[in-house]
Amino acid sequence: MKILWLLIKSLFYQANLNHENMQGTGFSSMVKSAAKAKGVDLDEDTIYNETAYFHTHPYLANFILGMWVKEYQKDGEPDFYKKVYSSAFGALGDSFFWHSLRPLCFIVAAILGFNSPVLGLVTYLVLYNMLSLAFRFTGFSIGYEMGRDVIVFFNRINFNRWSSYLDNVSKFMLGFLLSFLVKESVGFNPLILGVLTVYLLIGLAIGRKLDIVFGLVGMLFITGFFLYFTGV
Amino acid sequence: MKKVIFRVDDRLIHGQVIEGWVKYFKINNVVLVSDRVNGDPLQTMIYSSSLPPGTNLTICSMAEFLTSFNFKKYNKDFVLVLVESIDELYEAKGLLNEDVYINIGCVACREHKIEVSNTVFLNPAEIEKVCDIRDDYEVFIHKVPWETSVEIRNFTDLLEGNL
Repeated sequence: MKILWLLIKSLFYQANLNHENMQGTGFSSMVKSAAKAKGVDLDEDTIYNETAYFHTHPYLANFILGMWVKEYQKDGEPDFYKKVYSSAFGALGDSFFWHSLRPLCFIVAAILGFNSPVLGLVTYLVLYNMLSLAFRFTGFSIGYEMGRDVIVFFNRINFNRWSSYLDNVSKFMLGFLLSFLVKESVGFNPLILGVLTVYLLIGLAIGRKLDIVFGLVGMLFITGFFLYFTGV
Repeated sequence: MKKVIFRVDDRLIHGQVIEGWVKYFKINNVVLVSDRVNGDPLQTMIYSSSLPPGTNLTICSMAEFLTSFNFKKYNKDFVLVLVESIDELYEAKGLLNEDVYINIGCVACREHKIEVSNTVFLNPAEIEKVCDIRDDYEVFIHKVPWETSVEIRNFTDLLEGNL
């Protein structure tokens, strides 16, 4: 029961996110419950010290929490590894959840949303949360079990590769979505397909070098000229 | 963007570094300069595991870095050099030149530090060191590439309490 409460509490972990200590307050609040769940009573000073600067990926914070309690119990270096893991899990989590999983869920939802917008919305929420909640809910036990070697778990599942796998699936699905959009909207029109191909190539060539707003405004102008001169 | 990027980041390899710099510029070489990480197998494994596949990570101590870093090795590819503090950047000042993009990315808030940006908090001694480097080279506060960078020009005012 205590563990379940801890997991629910972890959903509010970022409530006091701020520039000074980032997620430090959240971690401090979690560490008290986490230690209690494992039968460890922490003194006020220790809990206060945990409000120091701390920032990691929120879905993976529970792994660090489990590791911290384990290290604390065996008189290890909980704060030292907390800092090391906060950076590493920030990198792994940002890459997978925010860079790769979120766009993929959006593309899948957009495809399914054509037939039923509700289905699209539900699919997005289920797909995204299924994975993020799975990591949140298993993180504490795995972190506690493996202690400071918790990175071994991530290496075992090749977690740093998941992001590139998902990116490839996303690219394929995006191609599918765009083709579907063109087919549904304009049928086979060589002129529009040609223009879209040029847009895609320009995007691939210079997309990263342009500011997104500038790029969008530029494209709107080009499209306007194109429509004006072709009399569409 | 210059090919050699020196970044001060007390979190070393984290989300902004991977998403913002390594993936954005397709950086294949990351040099992590840290006496704390160098020689510690567990920390080496942790930081190596957080990089995308295909990125080469070199971990070395400051002494090794100062004696062995070779710019010519990276004249075609990007290289991101990460140091943990302003003190370490200052220590490596001899290696800086016009071809290096000097970037202060993330220095966490500690007691008695001045908030220079929302991710960079420096104490007066660190500001003085940055001023010293800035006399010879441009120094930027730049969290991630798609955000506007701030060139440090008026730090002297900051030291005098005018900002």
